[in-house]
Amino acid sequence: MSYWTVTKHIVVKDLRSEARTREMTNAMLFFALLVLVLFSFSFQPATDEERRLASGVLWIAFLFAGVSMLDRSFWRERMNECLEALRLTPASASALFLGKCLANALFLLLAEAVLVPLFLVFFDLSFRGDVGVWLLVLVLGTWALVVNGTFFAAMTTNLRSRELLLPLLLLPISVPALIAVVEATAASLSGEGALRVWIQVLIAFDLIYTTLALLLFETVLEGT
Amino acid sequence: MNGTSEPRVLAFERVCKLFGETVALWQVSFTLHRGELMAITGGNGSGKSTLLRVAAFLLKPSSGTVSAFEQVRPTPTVRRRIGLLGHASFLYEDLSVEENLKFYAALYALGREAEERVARVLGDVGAEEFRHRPVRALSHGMRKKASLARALLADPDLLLLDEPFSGLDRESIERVRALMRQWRECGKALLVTTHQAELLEGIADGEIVLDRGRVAAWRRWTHSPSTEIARLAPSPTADG
Repeated sequence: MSYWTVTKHIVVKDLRSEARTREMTNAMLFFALLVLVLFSFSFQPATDEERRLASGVLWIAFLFAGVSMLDRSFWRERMNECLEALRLTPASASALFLGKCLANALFLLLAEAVLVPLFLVFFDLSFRGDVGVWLLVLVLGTWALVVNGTFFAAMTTNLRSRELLLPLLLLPISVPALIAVVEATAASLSGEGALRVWIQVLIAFDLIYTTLALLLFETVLEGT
Repeated sequence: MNGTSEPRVLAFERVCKLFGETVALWQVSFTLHRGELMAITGGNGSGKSTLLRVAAFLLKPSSGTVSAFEQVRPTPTVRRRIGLLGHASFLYEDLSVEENLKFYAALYALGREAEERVARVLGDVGAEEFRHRPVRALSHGMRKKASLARALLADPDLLLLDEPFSGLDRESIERVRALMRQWRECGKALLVTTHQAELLEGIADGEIVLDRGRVAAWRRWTHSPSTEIARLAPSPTADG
């Protein structure tokens, strides 16, 4: 069986379900918009230091959006014990995981596509650096959140305190990636800073954690 | 069909399953051969569903050995040959019955056969008329049929059916009984849990009665020399 066929069908199934209910996207946008609006009232960045602060606000909004989405991403698998049904099939566990990750990344990128223009308007900002490079940072940062988030969401899906455990597991492990995306975003907004170094950090983070998660997901699935 | 020469499909050897200190299964042993149907009966909490989940490799036994098709590990080939109808429907609520089946068909790598196989199983279980309805809009009986269709999708050689008659009307029960006869004649092995053992009379080769996880009794309903059900298992002791 083709690995990519399984991955593709997981992505299509999740997109189809979400298109019908819009439960995750609505929750994500609500939380993230709330953060952006509240912070936009508290300060307007004029200096480079304030721009750095604004990039942090943007990624806090994405983080809120991501955690609320990831918590729900395995909810559909939990209902009617669909996760068990996936385990009954001969499909590779890592292909299932990759499919869930890609679907989650698409949902988060979709939310970010709405949030970034609003962020620029609310905070009266524009990119002084290369926008194309920042889009790469956005994709790498989103994947960093999603790959670990999907892994931990699967691990905690059958636990009673999963809403509490998911951020407790996800946030500490994501700190290096969060520092890198905030610094890279600040560098893109101000046009100064070691953008290349932070991108390298993000690539290394994504590679390491994606490999680990793909290798370990079968064990996680057996334990759920 | 039920001679000893038939290949062994499923074997439990002194299988115990404990959840903490709760005994779900205690030293359960039996073998199931090709073309046999074994009924598993017992009261609520007797371990029937746990037994099926262990047989499907969804739960690991605490001790003892489970083998399906002479394999103790659930390789992709073994998984493909096992069909489980569980208590839960295993179906996605927001997708239609047909979309669910096509999704699972892809995971079972049915390829070009998928369309034909989906149509066939829907017809077999009588779920054609609601194939386009989302699962969330289905009644309990309809879900059961759709769920049975999902279990049959990969044309498994071992069918594990948990309460297949619950929620079904008389006509549907007769249809499932006819299907069971047909599967058995085709050489499939079936392990069926039920509270309505009388519905399996004339179809099942034997019955295992579970009581608090132990094999409390067994009886052969038809001549079935290959069905080797273990002696009554000893009760668990305090030291396990």
